[in-house]
Amino acid sequence: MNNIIVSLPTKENFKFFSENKIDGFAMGIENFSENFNHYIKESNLKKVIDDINKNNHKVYIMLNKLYFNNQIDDLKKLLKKLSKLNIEAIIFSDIAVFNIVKENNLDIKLIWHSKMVTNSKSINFYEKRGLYGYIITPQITLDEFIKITKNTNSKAIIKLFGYTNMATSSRSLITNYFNNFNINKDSNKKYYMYEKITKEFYPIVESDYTNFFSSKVLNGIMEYKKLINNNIDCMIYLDDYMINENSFYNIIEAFVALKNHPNDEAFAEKLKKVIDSNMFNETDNGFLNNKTIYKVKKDE
Amino acid sequence: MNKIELLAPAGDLEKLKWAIFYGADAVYIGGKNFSLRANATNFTIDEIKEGVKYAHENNAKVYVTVNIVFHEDDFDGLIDYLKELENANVDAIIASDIFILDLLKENNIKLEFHLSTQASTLNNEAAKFYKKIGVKRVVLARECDKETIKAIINEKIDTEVFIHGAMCTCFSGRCLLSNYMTNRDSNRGGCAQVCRWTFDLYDEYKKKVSDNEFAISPKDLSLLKYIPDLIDMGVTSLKIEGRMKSIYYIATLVRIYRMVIDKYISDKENYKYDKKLEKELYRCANRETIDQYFNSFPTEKEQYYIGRDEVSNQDFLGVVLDYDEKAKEIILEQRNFFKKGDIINIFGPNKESFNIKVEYIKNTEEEMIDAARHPKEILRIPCMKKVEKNDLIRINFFDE
Repeated sequence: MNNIIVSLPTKENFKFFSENKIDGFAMGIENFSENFNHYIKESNLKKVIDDINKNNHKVYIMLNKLYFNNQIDDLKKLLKKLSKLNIEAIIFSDIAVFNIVKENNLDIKLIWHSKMVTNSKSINFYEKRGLYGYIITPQITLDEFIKITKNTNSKAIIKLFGYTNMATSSRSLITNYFNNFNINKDSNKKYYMYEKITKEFYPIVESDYTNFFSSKVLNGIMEYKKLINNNIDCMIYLDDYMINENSFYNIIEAFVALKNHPNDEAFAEKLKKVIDSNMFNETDNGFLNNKTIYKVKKDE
Repeated sequence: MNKIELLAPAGDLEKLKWAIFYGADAVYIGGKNFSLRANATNFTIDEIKEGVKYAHENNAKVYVTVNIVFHEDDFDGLIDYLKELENANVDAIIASDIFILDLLKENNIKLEFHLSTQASTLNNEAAKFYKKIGVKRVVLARECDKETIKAIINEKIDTEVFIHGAMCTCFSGRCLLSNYMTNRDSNRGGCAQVCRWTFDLYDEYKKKVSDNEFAISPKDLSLLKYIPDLIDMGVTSLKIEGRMKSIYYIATLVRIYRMVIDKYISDKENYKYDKKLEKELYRCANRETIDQYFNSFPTEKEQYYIGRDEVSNQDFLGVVLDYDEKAKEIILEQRNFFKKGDIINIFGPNKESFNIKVEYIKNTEEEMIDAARHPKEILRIPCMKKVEKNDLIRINFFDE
């Protein structure tokens, strides 16, 4: 209950992860995943997975892209390869992954990760057809998430730390901008989109696709406390994308410390501040306590 | 080969009738609940019934969007609403959230299920899955190129392809830009169209890249040139975007696409692309239109940077209410300014447009006036050629 998954850092300090009882790692595969600080090459998969297994951690492969038709053959080959490796589950965004796994009877647990993961009925729809788990989408409040966990049997996961992916475009939006204005583009992939009215800087990263991120880093440690205190059976995901590696270790320690002392309000507040200061106070808790507007009135 | 469907948007009952009158085989509409485009007028259940009756009497179909992405508190009233749609004899629903498929089965509601473009179906494996679970039709992601469309058609599932209208910058159903920047939920009808805003671009050290504004706004889509390809590929339905658009826009677009479809199907060997229709189409749209993903991945040329060539269209001059054969006069309702001496263009469903010179203008008091200045004013102008009720009058832009 309330186990922690983290994205696989560049430096794999397994001693640290064993001491802190990290359940497993989410990792991205080159060309098939996005929004990771580093990607595992398909040719290195077995070695990396074996190393992680040796240290008693689980492996979650994150296939968090939508795939165009010309990638489907490669995707099929990859899934067949993964079915023979010792992984805990595949976290997928494209229903193509679900179909290929089921149609080929591949022995792989599937975790749904999409901005469409917003309600128990859709999760149950896929559960009936063999879904193992889900990562709730970030526009859902914590209370809604708790309700959903009670109305589903699948393994529930909620991301409680990291930048939030707001949207993805298959267009090369940064390259297009540089081309349009005849400006030489350097090798940087990360830029900021600055919104002039709110004066917010939104990270924007172009690789295969262009991804837009929240201006603030999600710090959901107080919500983690609430989940533990309410005995909600779920796992949490801490995401290191675009986060300094040393800071990320501090973040993991803070969440683990909270897990070990979930009833101490003052201690939780201190941990929250530790995380905030590691992120230069550029944090918020996203939509965890903030409902978005459903029906727009004329003057809104 | 099955007859290809021309599918038009209808934001209200009036637009539904215009779309069908101008040649749409089907229209898609939204109810007051559970539908994106929360700012459109949308239909009450009684209006849906009336719309369906009108459509069926004219051999057209009506699809109702139930395409919000549901949250846990949004289910109330959904089953009753679906039953009401069934009772209203709607031909299908267009939904994003897949659980509705089970809901229909469990409650023995006989409604055809079309999967919305919000599901971002980009490949044949996803389409194969949707077919297996009972989806009748998939509205393809607007990012699909022609090879992908062909691959999905090969799965023997009905396909609906956008041929005209606005594009999202990001994958549909996966975009939270509006949520984060305005707190309005894009997947439940509140999209603030953040992708139409302009920004500044900064590098990773937060240094401004240039004084040029950063924009991500795509030009609109038009596949007018590729209608024959889409027909030959076996697409089920050709879809025009824009439930918020005017009757002039809908009538113009439906008429043009109708003419192209009919001309190609009736004589494929001698079909020629009509540049005049292209001019009409582009003139009516308020943004530039382009083929977007159909032939290749879009580049900087398929989007806007410095402002937009977005013009408020004043072309629409009036609606024909009647024709006085004795006096050889058109009785019309004015929509935009025109004056004595102007050359105007008149068009209607399934017929070539023609020009006339406005020799005089009379008001309802039979007084001669020099110009039509007042919206909705009833006027008479002379015309030797007989016109029909609901023909439309516009500026003659063909000679520009």
